[in-house]
Amino acid sequence: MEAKTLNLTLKVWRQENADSPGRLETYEARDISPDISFLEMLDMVNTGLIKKGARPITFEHDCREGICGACGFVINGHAHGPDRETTVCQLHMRSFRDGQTLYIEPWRAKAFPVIQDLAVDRSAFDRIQAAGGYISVHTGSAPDGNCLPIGQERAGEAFDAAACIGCGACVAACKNASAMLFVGAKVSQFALLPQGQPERDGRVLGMVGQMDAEGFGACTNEFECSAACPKGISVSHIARMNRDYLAASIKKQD
Amino acid sequence: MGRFLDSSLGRKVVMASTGMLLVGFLAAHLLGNLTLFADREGEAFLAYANKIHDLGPLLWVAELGLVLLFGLHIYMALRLTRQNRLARPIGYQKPGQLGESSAGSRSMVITGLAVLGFTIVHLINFRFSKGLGAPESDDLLVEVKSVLTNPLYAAIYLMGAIAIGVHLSHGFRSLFQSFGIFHTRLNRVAKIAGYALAILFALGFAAFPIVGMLVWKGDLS
Amino acid sequence: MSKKASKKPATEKSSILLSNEPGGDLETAWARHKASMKLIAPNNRRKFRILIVGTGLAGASAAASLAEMGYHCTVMCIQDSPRRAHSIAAQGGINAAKNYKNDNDSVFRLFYDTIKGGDFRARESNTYRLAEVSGSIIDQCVAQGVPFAREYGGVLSNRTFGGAQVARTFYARGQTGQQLLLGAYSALMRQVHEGKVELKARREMLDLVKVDGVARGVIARNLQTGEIERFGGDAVLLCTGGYGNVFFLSTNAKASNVTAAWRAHKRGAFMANPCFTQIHPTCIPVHGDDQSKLTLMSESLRNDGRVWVPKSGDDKRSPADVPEADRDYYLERKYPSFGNMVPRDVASRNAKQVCDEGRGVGPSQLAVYLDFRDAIERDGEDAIRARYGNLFQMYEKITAENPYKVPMRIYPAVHYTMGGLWVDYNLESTVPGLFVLGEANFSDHGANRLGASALMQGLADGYFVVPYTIATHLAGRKLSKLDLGHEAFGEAEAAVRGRLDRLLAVKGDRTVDSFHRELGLQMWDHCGMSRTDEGLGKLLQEIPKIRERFWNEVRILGDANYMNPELEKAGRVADYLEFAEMMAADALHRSESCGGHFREESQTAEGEALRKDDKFKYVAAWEFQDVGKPEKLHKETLEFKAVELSQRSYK
Ligand SMILES: Cc1cc2nc3c(=O)[nH]c(=O)nc-3n(C[C@H](O)[C@H](O)[C@H](O)COP(=O)(O)OP(=O)(O)OC[C@H]3O[C@@H](n4cnc5c(N)ncnc54)[C@H](O)[C@@H]3O)c2cc1C
Ligand code: HEM
Ligand code: HEM
Ligand code: SF4
Ligand code: F3S
Ligand code: FES
Repeated sequence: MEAKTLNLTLKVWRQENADSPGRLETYEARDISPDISFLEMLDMVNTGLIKKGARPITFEHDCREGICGACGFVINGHAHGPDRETTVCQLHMRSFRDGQTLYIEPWRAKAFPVIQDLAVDRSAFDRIQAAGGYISVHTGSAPDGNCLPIGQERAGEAFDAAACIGCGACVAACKNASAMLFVGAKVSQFALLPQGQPERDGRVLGMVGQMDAEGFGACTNEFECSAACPKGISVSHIARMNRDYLAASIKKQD
Repeated sequence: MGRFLDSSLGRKVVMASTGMLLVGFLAAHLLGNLTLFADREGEAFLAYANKIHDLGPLLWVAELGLVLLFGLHIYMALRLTRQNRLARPIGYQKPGQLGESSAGSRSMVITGLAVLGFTIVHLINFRFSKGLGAPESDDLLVEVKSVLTNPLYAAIYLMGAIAIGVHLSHGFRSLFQSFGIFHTRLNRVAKIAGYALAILFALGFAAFPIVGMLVWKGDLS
Repeated sequence: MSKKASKKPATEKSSILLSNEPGGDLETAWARHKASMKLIAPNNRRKFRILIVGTGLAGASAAASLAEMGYHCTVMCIQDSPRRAHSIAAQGGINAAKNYKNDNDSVFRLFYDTIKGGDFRARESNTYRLAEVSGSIIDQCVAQGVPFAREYGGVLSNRTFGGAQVARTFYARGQTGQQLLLGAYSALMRQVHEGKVELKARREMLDLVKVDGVARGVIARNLQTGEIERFGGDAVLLCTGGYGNVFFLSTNAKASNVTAAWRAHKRGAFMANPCFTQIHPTCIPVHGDDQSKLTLMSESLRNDGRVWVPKSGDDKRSPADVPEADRDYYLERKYPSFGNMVPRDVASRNAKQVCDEGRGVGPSQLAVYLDFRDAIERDGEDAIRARYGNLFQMYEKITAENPYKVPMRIYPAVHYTMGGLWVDYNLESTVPGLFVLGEANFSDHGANRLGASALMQGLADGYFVVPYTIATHLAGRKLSKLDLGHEAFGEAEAAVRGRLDRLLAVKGDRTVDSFHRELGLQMWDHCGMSRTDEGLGKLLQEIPKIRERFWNEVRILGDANYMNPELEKAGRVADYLEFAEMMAADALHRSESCGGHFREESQTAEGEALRKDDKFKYVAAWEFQDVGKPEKLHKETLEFKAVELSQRSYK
């Protein structure tokens, strides 16, 4: 398979630190094998930059197999690039054409401030999780795993929601920088499971409260989040959260 | 309740409820107004108008309700829009999309504000008549026809009708999701129904200025 | 720096290596041990601060449990969120002796399989305890909302894994590690919410601080701001994962490192069996020089896929055109009873062997076929899709080849490290107050780890072992008041700063990665799937040279005062360059074959691994001397009371 190589023009967002202004810089990526991943392409560009004595492009990554959620930036307006259900670390250069110009920008959201180049601060997600994204069970106090039978279909649905990798692409793709898909997925996972019922109301109120406090936008039902989500999380989880929130608000007046 | 209305989700529920009721009002209003086309003399229309006016104090209540609906809907719309703008202070140099976002969905405030603008003009025309150069007349029928035959007003009404259509092309589908009703199939149905409703409303309301300019104008002169 | 590591390391029959096992029969050992341990009353626990480095399964579960018990915890990790620890990538599943499938599984069987699978190089008591608490792990995770696979009736589902003869593996599609970690992470975040855990993400531990000989803190770099920070505790828990990235190319996450363990080692923690690494047979082959990472394909594929290469190395036909007669299903041929299901080390070694014979396939010639043709013919494409759809999709995403039509190409890759910091039964290292959990320790897997056992061990250590055993340290020792101003912190901080400055001062012309690749290649060639006296000797000469070049030629731009990923990488590679030498020395000294450690000099007539129990039935624990100086070997002799030593055979 001797595929021919690609030459690309990259316009990459460069920003020294959180407080400095950023700008797009232009780089040429030459002789790129279509079989390498997008991050490996950036590795090559970085090697070239280091050789020239220029600061390499900072981007986040870790597992490089689409599961840790560390990677992520916007390519030509698409969070994680043009391929469906694919993180940038799994995106391969064969998805691009020779001669293409690629705009590479960080996630844009007030709640995700840029730290450097393409790396943003997503700790808001951790704080949302801390605001209720758990089931309170003491270590060692759990009953036998089979005490609570859960139908296969329901377990599967909970899994679909639980598959979220916390990458933030949903926020990046949403025109309102809304975190509804991320929060909806977590709320849904627990709402679907019997273990999640006791804390169900408090959870959705807490997590939505934190989501708003972090400065994410509201949802206007654009469904861009789901299209960008590398795990294909469905907007039906947003609907479930909306329902739960309404129900919880009625039950829990304060 | 305070927390509910302060949250983005609570506000969306208010948007959806008021939006839905406004759709209901529009449907009724459109049907009522269609009586204008029932007969050349406008008897059906006048009968309908009289019926409404006969409601007396009830009409007051209904009007108050309408004002509230509009008010809440607009207030929440502006609050949410502000929140959403603030949530992304720096945009993308090269935007793109993959999902179901549409021109209609991205321009909800604009079409909404267009509807608001239209409504103000419209209310001045009919509710607080004798304004803006409309021929003074106590006869509602004459008044309506005189407005709809005025090219400037006709244009505004046409714009209003289109704005409503575009607004609902996203709004109708959207309200189900806001209430938390989602199903892949339902989503498809709601989407199609939303477009159908949008076209229906746009055509329905646009019919008046069009007929006004093409037919009634001839009648009057 | 002495260029040549002597072949016979200084050895000491150790009195330092006290395993602190309870003794007596295994079935009651843990219970007796727990009963004999000191307690710390709930209201006294808040007087202690525990410092936990790492938020993988081991770290997150330990932190959540300890905080819940009332201890104050400080938790740090390299990634921007604890949820991204490398455990997230585990696919296949987690073992537990639940016997839900009624196939006569038991704690003893799980224990036995683990000991045997580890080729009798693990401590019995630790491994038994692991099997004993395995069931509680599943209960705990279910209660946390981990969406395990279920049967139609709603009960938990199990599958067989890695050649086990019972179905004891619990799984959550192909993302078991993710779901388990998210469970532990959620428990951790609950404690963050309650104010019992101080979470420090984007921190890299760069040194261990000992006060009066006891581990009392770490020096860490804030990877975002560049600040060097001091963290203190009454105990330090290292849960920092494995060092597979010493090979550069591995299935480990990019940030996986030996740094934390190595710095602790340099401060006195012995490192045990570092040469025990696991090479996983079913990974996607290397495609080119720019590759940064290898991807694992779940082992479950071997349940239906048949492994083969052409009989002749000159056969360059496309796989579909190779007739049955010209194919060599070498695993089925050599191991008629286990066939394609032989353990990982055996499968890997055989793949290497056929490629060495020049019969490898694909552009690199370093791959073998994993063919589903027969399975598809037998069960239909739909059945195969239902079983492996997501894996096939992943394969296609990476290779752009459709495995329903063309056989997959696979090759072994570094995957897991059984070796690690030496710990006793309480999981305490040779540095008092320093506990080591999860893949970072050496404890439970011997020379080879069974599939689905690492997740089990990480969670066992964190949820069910350390929360109790830590009391032996906290209540058993008189601890001075914690003082971040203590000179020991100052000294360690200065050392860390000095090292960062030295790295930045080199100002050479080669990238960090180029050194990492160079080291990795050497390690792979000489300390990988099979090892020889000669190769290891060469390696031991090569490593110091690479290290020297590194310190003269590496180029790291920018400074240490803000985020600088190249600087982070450089620090890790520098540590690998020191660590690798010890690893090679360990491999050289252990002139037997066992588990993942295959010494060509030690094989049976049929070419299988030959263990030498008379000489090597011990844990090799190494004590740091100085960089470039051979380390001192300590031996913990292994006693086998519950199991009989036997030579593994999969014929
Ligand atoms: C692709 C793949 C698939 C696998 N599949 C399975 C499977 O199916 N079943 C199974 O049982 N096992 C599997 N394993 C093995 C298993 O995933 C790991 O052994 C296990 O998850 C390790 O957990 P841990 O908690 O010890 O460490 P990790 O999860 O590696 O966590 C390490 C933590 O330490 C932190 N850290 C490291 N160094 C530092 C430092 N210097 N300073 C600060 N923090 C630091 C990291 O940030 C991270 O939080 C798999 C492994 C791989 C690579
Ligand atoms: C008769 C007049 C109007 C009708 C029938 C109407 C109807 C609707 C409906 C059904 C929705 C969807 C609610 C949801 O998604 O939950 C909506 C949303 C919205 N409306 Fe209106 N609306 C009207 C007037 C206005 C006006 C005057 C504004 C002025 C600002 C406005 C601004 C918006 C905005 C910003 C949204 C949010 C978009 C979204 O959530 O998708 N609307 N409207
Ligand atoms: C284009 C065709 C329309 C015609 C011919 C029409 C006609 C009228 C008439 C005659 C009245 C006066 C009723 C009365 O005072 O008894 C009226 C009132 C009103 N119309 Fe319309 N209308 C049209 C479109 C719209 C649209 C699109 C909207 C909404 C956005 C709207 C909103 C209103 C409102 C809010 C009132 C005031 C109701 C009240 O105070 O009772 N109209 N309309
Ligand atoms: S919902 Fe999808 S896009 Fe959003 S964080 Fe989770 S995985 Fe990423
Ligand atoms: S794209 Fe945004 S508007 Fe809602 S449906 Fe998704 S969060
Ligand atoms: S690097 Fe882990 S998901 Fe991309």
